[in-house]
Amino acid sequence: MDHRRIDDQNVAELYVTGRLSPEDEETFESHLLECTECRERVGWADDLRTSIRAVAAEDAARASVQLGFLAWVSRHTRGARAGALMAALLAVAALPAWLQADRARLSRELAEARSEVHAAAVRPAPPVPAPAPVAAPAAPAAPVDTAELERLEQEKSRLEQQLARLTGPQNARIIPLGTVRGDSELQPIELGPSPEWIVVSLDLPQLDDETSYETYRVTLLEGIEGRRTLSKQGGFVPSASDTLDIHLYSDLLKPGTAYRFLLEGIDAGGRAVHVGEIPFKAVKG
Amino acid sequence: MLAEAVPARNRRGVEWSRETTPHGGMVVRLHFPPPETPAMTVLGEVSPADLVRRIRNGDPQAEEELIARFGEGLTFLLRRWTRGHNDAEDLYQETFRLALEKIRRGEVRDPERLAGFLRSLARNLSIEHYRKAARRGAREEEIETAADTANPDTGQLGQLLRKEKVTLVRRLLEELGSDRDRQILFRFYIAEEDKESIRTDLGLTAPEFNLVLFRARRRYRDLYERQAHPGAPRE
Repeated sequence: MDHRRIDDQNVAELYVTGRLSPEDEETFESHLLECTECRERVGWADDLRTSIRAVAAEDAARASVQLGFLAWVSRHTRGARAGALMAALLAVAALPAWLQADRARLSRELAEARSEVHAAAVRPAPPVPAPAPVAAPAAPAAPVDTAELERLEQEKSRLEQQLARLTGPQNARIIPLGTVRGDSELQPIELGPSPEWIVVSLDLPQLDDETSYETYRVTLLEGIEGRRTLSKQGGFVPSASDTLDIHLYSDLLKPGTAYRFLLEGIDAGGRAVHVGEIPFKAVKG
Repeated sequence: MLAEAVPARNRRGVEWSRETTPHGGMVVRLHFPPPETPAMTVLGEVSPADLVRRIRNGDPQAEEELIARFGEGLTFLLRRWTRGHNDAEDLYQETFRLALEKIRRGEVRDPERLAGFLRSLARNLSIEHYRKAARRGAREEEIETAADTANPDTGQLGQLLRKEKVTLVRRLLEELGSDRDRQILFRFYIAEEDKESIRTDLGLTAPEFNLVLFRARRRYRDLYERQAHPGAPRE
């Protein structure tokens, strides 16, 4: 493996993020055994990756504290007042800075696409040419414009979807779920008529005084005892009110089906320790 | 910036020291005496096949050369695979013990691929080590190759270092010329999106995409080094 290829193709970055194929990984690791320079490359790439993730975790923790507060409000406020308060609070809930930047960029592109579509739609028809002395077959009506309009419409739709995906959690419903004791009925999560972002605010079970975890891993499993994993994600930081706030696209859940969240704390050695499970049932809203 | 140099002497009388790098890695340095009498071969110029041949012929100097040539790299890989656990040291010893035995017995099929042989041996020993630990009742931990490596940022000094690095990354992100470059870093390192899909989505060629990642790593290193050595000239 030569250094030109390693730099040109960012092999060190691909290695630290686990993106190399098994064969390339083996070749690169064999190379690392003898190459100090590449070990340094890997060290810096790893460092950058860890630090970028720390920046994102800090931003997410800030947003999470705000969402945790919103979840707390939703549990302690009832009726129409709650709705109004939630809407007002959601409006100020901050997204991490980098998501904000992305959102701003997409909004800008979307506005441009819209204005182009609008301009194309209202563009005056070209002047009718003077009739030719000899009758010619009629030309197809402005095929280029139609294709361009179609392309812009598609682009607009794509951008709108991206924008919805990026900004979705900000406008999401917050559903609190707590640990169930005994044989109580499963807590329901009501699904709307169409897929949407929801924020499930999971109450962390009480741990003994000496145990605490900085981050948690959450796994969504189908069934009360089933093992089919639908989603697994780590790096969740508890909110100020001891909840984990999970952004979920409701499409993942089927009405009438039972699920459970498996909660694991990540200890200082990086090991996952089981801390509890929260079962629930998806129901039609 | 290296710390914790612990000098020691191995059973053949060669002095060595263990040092910790800024990334939390471990470097083992062997301090050979200056070449007074028998001229020593420059490391790295000896072909792997020659090294294997000399070890098979019972040359103890060749065994030292093997360790000097691959020791640091092996420590680096083992610490990644074991996420920085102390097991790395045991595995290091075990890998070289077994490697020397196999080389002496002529069990290296392709001597030119000595590095690949050592890597496979170390990898298999690491996996076996964790299987045994799991059988003993400890929680089985998957041997990771790249992601989720050990976080050396523990303790007060570690926390401080981490804070500094986070500040550097924030500065790096501010310095980036465009939102697009920021997006690339976040989508690559955090969302862990497929490289091709990020590239296609942003309408970039492969070299353009790779350049952003390459420059980010270089700039991060530059910022770190300038902070560590404020008077040093810029690279």
